[in-house]
Amino acid sequence: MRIVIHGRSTGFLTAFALLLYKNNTDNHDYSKIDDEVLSLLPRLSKPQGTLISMGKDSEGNELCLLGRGKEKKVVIQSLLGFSRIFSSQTKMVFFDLAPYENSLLFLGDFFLKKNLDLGKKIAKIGIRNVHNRLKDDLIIFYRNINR
Amino acid sequence: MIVIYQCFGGAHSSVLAAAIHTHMLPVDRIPAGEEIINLPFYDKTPDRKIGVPLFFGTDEFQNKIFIQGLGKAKKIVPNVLESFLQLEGISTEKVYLKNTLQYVTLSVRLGGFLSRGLGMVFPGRLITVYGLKKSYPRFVEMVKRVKKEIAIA
Repeated sequence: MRIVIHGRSTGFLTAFALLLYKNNTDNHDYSKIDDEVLSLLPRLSKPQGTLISMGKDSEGNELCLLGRGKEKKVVIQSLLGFSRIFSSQTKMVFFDLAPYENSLLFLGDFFLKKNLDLGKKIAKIGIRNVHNRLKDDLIIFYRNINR
Repeated sequence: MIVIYQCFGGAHSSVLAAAIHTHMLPVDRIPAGEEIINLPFYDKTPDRKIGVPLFFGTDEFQNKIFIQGLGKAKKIVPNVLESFLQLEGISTEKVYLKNTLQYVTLSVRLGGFLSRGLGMVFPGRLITVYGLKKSYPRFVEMVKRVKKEIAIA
């Protein structure tokens, strides 16, 4: 199975969601997870629409991140359509980060791309606002797909 | 090979190009309006299908021809395809993407908006046909180039 975690862009939130999913942890130590997130960001600097492979989870499912811009439905339908055309044997499931996106995270990403530390501080506040909800939803998602 | 003709809604210019490619429309004359309107998918592809590659037919070399509406994601979808093929270990040379929007005139855009956007199907459809007939020779040349390129590939 291929798990596609997608948001408007591949930035702090997508990296954070990936780590949260992989670790499946109740870690509230933001300082530690920050470093891991920041170390991932250079790998995520790809053009929109690029599926970025990020290894596998504990069940052997492939993990991918996708920055899909604002045209979520068109991009997902395209991806599923291509999968059908090429008879891909890999089932794809999607986790949408849209409910967790907020302007602080967008602003944080903007400054992080300019290599400004301010970006990290703003993104951390943005993450704090959605952390619990995102963690709970990822746990439910993980359980549902690995039933 | 897979050939995908892409436009905004997957309802007009991509359909015309795919029809020329699969010989549903002639290359030696400009077709009548009815020939265009009666094409499968022509001015019929619903908005909810935008993004979905739709199978149109096969050409004389058994290449599979698809149409696809990209909406506002025309710059993003090619990246989706390329990265998807990379993950699957499939060569990108097996797919040929052609965006037909550059051949679309203002009347086609206007007609498409009237028909698909506002639901004014009758006038909208006629205006799209008028626009496509005017630029039909350019579409024929474009399809010929596509066929030449995929034959070399």
